[in-house]
Amino acid sequence: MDVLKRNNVTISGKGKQPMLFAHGYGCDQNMWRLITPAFENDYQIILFDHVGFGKSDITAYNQTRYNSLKGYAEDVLEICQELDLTNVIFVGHSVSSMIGVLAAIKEPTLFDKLVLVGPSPRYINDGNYEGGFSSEDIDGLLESLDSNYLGWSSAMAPVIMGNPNRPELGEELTNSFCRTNPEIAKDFARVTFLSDNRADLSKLKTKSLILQCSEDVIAPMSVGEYMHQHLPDSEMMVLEATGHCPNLSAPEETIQAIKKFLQNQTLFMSKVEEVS
Amino acid sequence: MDYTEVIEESAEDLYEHAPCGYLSLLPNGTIVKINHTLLNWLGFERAEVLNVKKFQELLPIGGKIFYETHYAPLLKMQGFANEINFDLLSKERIPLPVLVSTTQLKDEAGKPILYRTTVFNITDRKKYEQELLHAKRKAEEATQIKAEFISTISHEIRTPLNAIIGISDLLLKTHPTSSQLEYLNILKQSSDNLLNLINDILDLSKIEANRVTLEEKEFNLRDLLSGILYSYNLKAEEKGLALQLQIDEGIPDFLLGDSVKIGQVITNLLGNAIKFTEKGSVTIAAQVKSTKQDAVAVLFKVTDTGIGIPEERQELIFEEFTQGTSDTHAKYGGTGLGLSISQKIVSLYGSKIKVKSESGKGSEFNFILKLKKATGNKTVSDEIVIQADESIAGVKLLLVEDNPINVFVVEQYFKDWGIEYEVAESGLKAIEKINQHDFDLVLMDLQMPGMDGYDTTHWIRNLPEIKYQQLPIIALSASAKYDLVEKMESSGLTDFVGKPFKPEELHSKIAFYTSKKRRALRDKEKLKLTIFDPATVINKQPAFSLNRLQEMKDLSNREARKLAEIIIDNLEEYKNKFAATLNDKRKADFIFLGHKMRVDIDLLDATNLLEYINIGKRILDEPEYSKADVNILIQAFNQEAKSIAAALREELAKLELK
Repeated sequence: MDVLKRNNVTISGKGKQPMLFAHGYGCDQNMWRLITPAFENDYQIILFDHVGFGKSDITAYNQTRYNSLKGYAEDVLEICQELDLTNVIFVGHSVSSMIGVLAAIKEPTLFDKLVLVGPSPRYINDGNYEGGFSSEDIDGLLESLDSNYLGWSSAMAPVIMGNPNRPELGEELTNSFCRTNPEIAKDFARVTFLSDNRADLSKLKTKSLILQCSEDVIAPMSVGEYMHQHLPDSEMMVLEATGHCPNLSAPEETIQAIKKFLQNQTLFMSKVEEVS
Repeated sequence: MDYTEVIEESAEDLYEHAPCGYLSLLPNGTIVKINHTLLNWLGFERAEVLNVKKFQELLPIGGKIFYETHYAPLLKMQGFANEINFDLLSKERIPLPVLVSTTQLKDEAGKPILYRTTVFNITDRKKYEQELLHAKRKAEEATQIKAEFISTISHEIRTPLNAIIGISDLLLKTHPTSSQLEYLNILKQSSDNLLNLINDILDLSKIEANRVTLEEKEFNLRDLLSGILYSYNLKAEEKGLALQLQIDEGIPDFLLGDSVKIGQVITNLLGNAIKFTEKGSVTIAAQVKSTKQDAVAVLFKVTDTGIGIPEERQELIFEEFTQGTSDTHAKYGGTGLGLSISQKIVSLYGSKIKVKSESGKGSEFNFILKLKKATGNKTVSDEIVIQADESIAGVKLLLVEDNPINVFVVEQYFKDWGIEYEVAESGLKAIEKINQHDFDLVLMDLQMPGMDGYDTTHWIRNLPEIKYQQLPIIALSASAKYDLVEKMESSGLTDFVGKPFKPEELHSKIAFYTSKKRRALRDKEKLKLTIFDPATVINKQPAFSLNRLQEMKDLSNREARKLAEIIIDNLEEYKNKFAATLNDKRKADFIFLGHKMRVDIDLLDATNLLEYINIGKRILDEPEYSKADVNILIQAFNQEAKSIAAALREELAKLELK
């Protein structure tokens, strides 16, 4: 199994310390394109697509492996192993935040810091916990995925492309970013929105930053606060940006927040070294 | 006349009353302009929406998630998004299915300032779509049901057919008269044909129901092709045909692919070629078409000098139940399913069988398969070497089969082969018998009332003694193997023989799994792994002593008791850690555990525990260690810890009495 091909791993940047960016649900590594240039000079930038998204190897999809976020966390660890990465700064958006947390719990020595953009340990309300959704809401999303044209056309694309009598149908489809395999997207939606990783939070030993948007339906403020309370060594920063993708809607603010977090740490580290 | 005003007014009118909805949104989704058409569809007053509502607030919650996770990122990345399907909620919360297209307007600095959105009402289209989807699902379901029906029926047909073929094979061995021999041969041939037909129909229905998947296993293409050729040697000789095999030297020895299905295609093409060729030659060729670092495209060709296929029928022969000419069937027999199945198998590889042929001059069938290269680390169990000539007399075998006719047929062969066998008519009886006698092999019918073959196998595998985990259990079933692989693995079946079985196949599998050679091989493997021989730890006598503990006279009763209790607790912890660290291959933790146990081991003189720790260390140095053996070691460790704890408890009880 070629891990780098499976996850369409791309590497750039002039620095030494690796920054591993993991895209969230519904998109692919393209969603980092406004963020990564700001880190190119000082870090090694590693991007990848989860299996079933972007240009990953869809044939590597396996329902058993990917029926929990742990399978995706394994992929992250395998990428680290394949590239021999250590001291990794993991930047995860949305569900990939939790994937990063799970990976760092399993192999704490590989990771330096985690940046969690719009994280949520559980999306569905449970007793006093307000995740923001009910389980019926998630059925609504699955329906939406089912009926959606973006998904529909990717589902039909192989049929259409494979029809030699109608070559005019084989042209590139217009919505060319964030291509997802509709069946896998549905599985991933289930895995994502039905996951409950609240019990894992206290196990994280790596330092983390929670980037919380001001108005985020997917990960509301209460969830960000819950994360902050339960992640042992975490900082939280509330962004002015609204929505669920500050990396796209407010890249500058997002970059500044990440830089501040990383620099503070570096300053602190060098002080410690001086003392010793 | 000045039309400017009229035009301007009518532009406004066009905007407001266009047959589609128009929206202008701020980057955060706030609606700053909306046309009358859309307001009308949704039942809102302009004031209720303008600068008040955001676009995403018009969406039901599932749509909101989709908006945030798919639509918004897409729009921000490419500056537009086309034909995204949403349901918009009207004032009465009634969903309106729409297609939404949006473009981004940017200021001079390239910052998005406004989104312009067009909304198409697709209520009707949605209804059609749902009907289509519904029809598609229903059709798929029907195909599924059909496939299941065919599978059940063919199973029902195969069971009596099993008896017919089996008995006619047996009759052939009873020195029949020449006319009886003739009848028997016809009986045999007809039943064989019937079986082939049923197999073909089953294959076809499976492929149609999308229930066939390609396996990716290592195989040797040279061996596969020469094996197929060899099996047709006799037939070709009878007809006086030259059989040739040409394999490119550039073809790697080991490839990854579904050798069973590739073999099925080649067998079919070769069988046809021989069938339709009266003189001349038949050739199988495999050539490298192109090669990459990790894969190779192989061109397979089966060429003959036979009757050929008229051009107008060359496309048709791949369809079900059609043959080269309308009188082909009368002359040559066959069903016309083979090519259709072969074509479908090849299409699973994303390729196609092509035909070049001229009437009376011969035919060439070719196809290209892209196959990954393999390393050649084949495991022993994958390789069933034909061992038909090896004697299996004296093998102790348990036959688990509920159908008396099948029992009768199989029995005749067992007697012939000198097998010492027992019969169990049900799963429960099988377990009973297995507990009473030691068998070399179990032949297990899968479909039995009550406890079926899978359950029974599962049961046997879970018996506490290790030998039951190594006992070969071969499934005997009328279902095709395609269906079974997964279930076979999970229940612990070793291998599979189809029903009706070919006597040679059954013989060679029994020989393979019970052969002395294989046992010797296994022993050799064991010797190679000097690290640890599982046999040495199974049922080992406990080795420890409480003398030192008892001798500690300076300890008061209470302290001795406390010490014993601590050791009991420790043992419990060691048990867990021993298993966990070994299973997770955490070597450092395992070694640490060894240190930690040192005191207890010394105190108890627990030599077995010490040995197990040392074996564990060696195992962790060996990257590829068998999981089954690790489990044996863990079991042995647990057993020993249990014995020690029990002895300590007994000691505690004695102390209590004092």
